[in-house]
Amino acid sequence: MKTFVEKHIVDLLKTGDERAIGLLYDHYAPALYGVAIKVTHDEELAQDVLQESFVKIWKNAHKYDADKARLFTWLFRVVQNTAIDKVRSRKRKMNKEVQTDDSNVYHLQSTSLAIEHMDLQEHTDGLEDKYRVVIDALFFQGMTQQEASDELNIPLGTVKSRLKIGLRELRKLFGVLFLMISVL
Amino acid sequence: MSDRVSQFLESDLLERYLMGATSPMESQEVEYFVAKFPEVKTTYNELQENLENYAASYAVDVPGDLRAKILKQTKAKPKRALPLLAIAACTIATLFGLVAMMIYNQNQELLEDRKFTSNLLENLNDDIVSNRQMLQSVEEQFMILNNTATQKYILKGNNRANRLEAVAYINELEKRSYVHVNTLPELPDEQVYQMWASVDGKLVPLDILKVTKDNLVEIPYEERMASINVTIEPKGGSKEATKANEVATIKFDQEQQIPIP
Repeated sequence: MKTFVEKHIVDLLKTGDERAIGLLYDHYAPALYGVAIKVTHDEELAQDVLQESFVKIWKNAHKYDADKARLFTWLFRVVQNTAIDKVRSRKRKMNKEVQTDDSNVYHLQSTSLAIEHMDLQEHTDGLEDKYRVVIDALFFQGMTQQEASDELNIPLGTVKSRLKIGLRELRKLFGVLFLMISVL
Repeated sequence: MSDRVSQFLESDLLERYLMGATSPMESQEVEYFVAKFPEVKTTYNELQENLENYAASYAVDVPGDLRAKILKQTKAKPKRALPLLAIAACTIATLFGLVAMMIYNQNQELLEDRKFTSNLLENLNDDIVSNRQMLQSVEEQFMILNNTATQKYILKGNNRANRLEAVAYINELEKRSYVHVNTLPELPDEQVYQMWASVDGKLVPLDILKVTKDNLVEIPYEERMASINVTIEPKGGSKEATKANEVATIKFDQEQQIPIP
């Protein structure tokens, strides 16, 4: 269900009202920055990604179709694609430089999780790792299902079923959370 | 829930669509199902919400200065590609239109020129035909005049028309006759000079006399012409000669008969 804020932001975007960017940033920047970090594994690069993504979002606001996707889904795809492009571009520049073991490890040493999202983090922690790695590979690493199958060394059919079940599990986890919020 | 919807939901199309990993045809299929079946739409919305929540669970505080940088970069209004393309398309269309109009105008001018040239050629052809006919006529006249069988007769008016002066050329072999009128005294508008041939004692009308200056005018040839007579007749000529109005006559057995040299 679309929130009032989301509708308002979409209206402002459609009319080219600059206030849209401020509102977009205030409501979505932490989540989108988190996506950028998960894809790039590099805070500095993730900041570039976020900056570039917002410019793209602003320039292509007229292309957004609310009937096809929620605003966040569209924003997520812009950030995800921008981040994947940046990572690929950086990899090309490194000219097959030997990667250290640490380079593939996701560290968040100086970055703190946004406080208001801590509850969500707790709930996603409830998601089994076998589903999490598949969802992360497909949504945050920009892999195709085949690439995820090769990379994670699991059959393609298993990737598909884990994606499906993982997303369904998320529905359950968030369902409980929203139920709790509504009770409180 | 219909089998079709169940099959669709069991496939991974919706999940892949969410990931942006569907082909254009698959995307169309998904969009059709989302628009047509409420249960698909609900599932799709749930997936989107889950993605948002899942991503939000990894939300990270953004460094403070980034907001100002982004707002500064997006200060100008978004420039849509469409107006630029539209302007380019309009410019090209206008140029194309102008060129087309120019070509059309040039074509019209060329058509006009062609029409004018055709008319000119037609007129020139007519002139050529006319000149040929004239030349042929002159050649014929020249041939007749040079023919030894052609006789020349000088017609002079009497006291009623003493300024009348004409020359008649008669060729009995070719059976052709011509007249060349040098001068004619003026007559009232309702009167003309008419030429007659005397044949077997009767005057046969030949032609109305007019000043011909440099040209010979062929007149009807009559067999057994004994004389040529000129009378004054009412305008349009008469069928019967008015003998009382005779102003000139020449008899062929007289001495005025002068052979052409």
